[in-house]
Amino acid sequence: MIQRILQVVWREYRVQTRTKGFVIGTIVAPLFLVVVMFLPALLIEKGANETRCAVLDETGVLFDDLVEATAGSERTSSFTLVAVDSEFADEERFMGAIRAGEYDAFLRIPADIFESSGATYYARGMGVSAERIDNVLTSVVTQHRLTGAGLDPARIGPLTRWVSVERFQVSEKGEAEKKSWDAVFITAFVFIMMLYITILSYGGTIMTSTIEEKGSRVVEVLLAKLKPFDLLTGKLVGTGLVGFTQYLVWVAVGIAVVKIGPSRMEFMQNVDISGTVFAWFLLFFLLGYFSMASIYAAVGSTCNSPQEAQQLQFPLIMPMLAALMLSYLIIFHPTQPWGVALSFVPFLSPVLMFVRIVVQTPPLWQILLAVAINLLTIWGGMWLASRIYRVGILMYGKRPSFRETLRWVRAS
Amino acid sequence: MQAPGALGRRAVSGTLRWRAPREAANGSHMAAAIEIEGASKRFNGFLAVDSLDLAIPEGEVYGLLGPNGAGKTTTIRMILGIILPDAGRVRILGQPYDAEVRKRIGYLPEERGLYPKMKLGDQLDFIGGLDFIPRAERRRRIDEWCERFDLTSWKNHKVEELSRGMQQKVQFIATVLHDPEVLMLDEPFTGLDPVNTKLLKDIMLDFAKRGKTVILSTHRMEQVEMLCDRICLINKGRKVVDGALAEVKAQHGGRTVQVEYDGSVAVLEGHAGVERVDNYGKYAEVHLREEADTQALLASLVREVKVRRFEVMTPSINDIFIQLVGGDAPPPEPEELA
Repeated sequence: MIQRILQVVWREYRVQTRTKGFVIGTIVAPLFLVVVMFLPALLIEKGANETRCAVLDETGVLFDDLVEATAGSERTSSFTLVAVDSEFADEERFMGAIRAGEYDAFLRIPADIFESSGATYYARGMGVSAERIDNVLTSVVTQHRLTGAGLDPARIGPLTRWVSVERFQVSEKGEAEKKSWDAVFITAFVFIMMLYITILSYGGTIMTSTIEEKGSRVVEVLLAKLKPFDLLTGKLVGTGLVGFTQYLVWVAVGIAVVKIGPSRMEFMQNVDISGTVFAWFLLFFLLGYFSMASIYAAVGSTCNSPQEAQQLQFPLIMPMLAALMLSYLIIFHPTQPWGVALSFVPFLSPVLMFVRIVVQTPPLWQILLAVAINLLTIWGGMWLASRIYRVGILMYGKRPSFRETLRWVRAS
Repeated sequence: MQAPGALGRRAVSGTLRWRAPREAANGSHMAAAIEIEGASKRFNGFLAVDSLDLAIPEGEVYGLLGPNGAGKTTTIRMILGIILPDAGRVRILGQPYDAEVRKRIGYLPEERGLYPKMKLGDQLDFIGGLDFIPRAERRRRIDEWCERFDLTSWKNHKVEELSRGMQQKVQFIATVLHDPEVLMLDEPFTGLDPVNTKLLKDIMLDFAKRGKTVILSTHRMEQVEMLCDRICLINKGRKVVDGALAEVKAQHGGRTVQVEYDGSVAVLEGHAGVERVDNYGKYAEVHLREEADTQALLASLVREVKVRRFEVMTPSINDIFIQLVGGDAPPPEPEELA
């Protein structure tokens, strides 16, 4: 019996890994993403981002300190500050200068900055660097205020130093791991999107190929040779393996990018691809995939055409969509009891328990309980689906109503 | 099966025949390849098959006939274990349906059952794999069959690129690749040209000669006449008639007599056995009642007229089919039963 299932697995695997869609999704798409991520990083490193900024310092005392502070910080080093005289106070003058490309930006520091705390900045593009000028100016102004208040300039530095908070995530084993909020958020985000997209797209694949087998009547030949449950199992496992393969290729590309990628790729640096997280990820992908896939197969077996199936797409997407929405809540409030409870609900669990693993490290027994619940869901789904499948796959003509489908489950 | 191939198959099936010990065990002279006892199947309240009894002997070509929607496909699917009967039982090659016995059946469905986007060679390889044929052996068989059906140059083409007739040939190869003991063929000649039709017929007869059972479901009655040893006609889910072709013909024939004569045949009109006479002057077609004795009729004719020809007509299966189910429009029903 197993040998027949393996034949089906092998066929699904071979046929699906040879489609254009698979090649594009597995190899071309990540390469494209890498190029898209690399190019700007490379361009930034070439220093194409130089900003010539005209500064009208009406206080007359800040410019030199500002130049020093700007050059001293790596984040603002692309700025070249040029002092300009008061004729630049005229709006037409500085606007004209920026339009003509004489300067890229214009910073006006009013005489009353120490009291009003307000400066103005004009530029063609509002990049990240504009924000950073703000920080530099604030610290320069603060220093001047403190000196003005009679403080010894030598003591100002130590007194106003930023406090840094190092964040550690405590794991189940009691180990503390250094983690930044950015890393947690971005890791969770990237993985959730991957789970969402792949589970739905592989579910869709199952549905399409079920309809194709039904439409081309191959299924009659197959069912004369193996049981509906075995055929279904073979199809699900085969397609699951295709997904697994795709992930392995993606991981290889991902590791390569992290290893050889330029240091400026802050986005990639923030993604936490530790082995443990990835192992959990693959496990929960498989659990999520198998619990949805059997449902997709059952629905596919009741349809006569992909168009008919299209109409049923939305209800099928709902559980995954709900999981996607709820996962954001869990990222922000990982210890809420309702979040914990939701991570055990069938169909939501694969995404939500995985999110909890990324942001919070739940107790091991909770993870294992979720895995057990998911396995039960898969078993129940397969049982239910194979009963609908075995009737639906041979039934042509009008699509059965939901109630009729329930009758098949009870009857067969 | 090791039936002696040198003998004609009709001779073999009726007389002494070397057979596997199974026959000795159940003691019957003719082992049944398929036995259906009181099988019923209902779909959404519609009775597709109604307590059907059927025994299909081994080593024969068996015709399963019936109008559209008679329950043929449902019967075939029950035999193949694709669906299970609600009541009754089906036995194949003397045993209940299981994974083992699946390997010994080949099924050719009425509509194409192939993956349109798969290459012909890959497709056959996959199907052969489902039947546990070792890889090298199935490659060899695929090559052999493709050669025989003139498909060798098409092996790397997708099925959707093939003509209907070619697809039918591929489907047939898929059916026989594992050298099954029972062949279940639903309209196998669809789309085939005369040359390939003959080729397929020869292969079917050859299978039967080798002691295998061929079940043929078709609407083409001339093929039934040529090929089948035995037939079963079903209508509305029930068996109407079954038996050896000659017996069925004998039962339902002999009721029309053609007479060519000189003189008047007024005598016919009054004769006890005569139902109706179509008189054409020098020639008449006499339709007889069921109990009529053709010899007595001839005797009374000879007394009155000069009989030039007197022939008891053998009806064609086509006539019998129309006679038994004609005028009996099949009830409306869900499509899956058709």
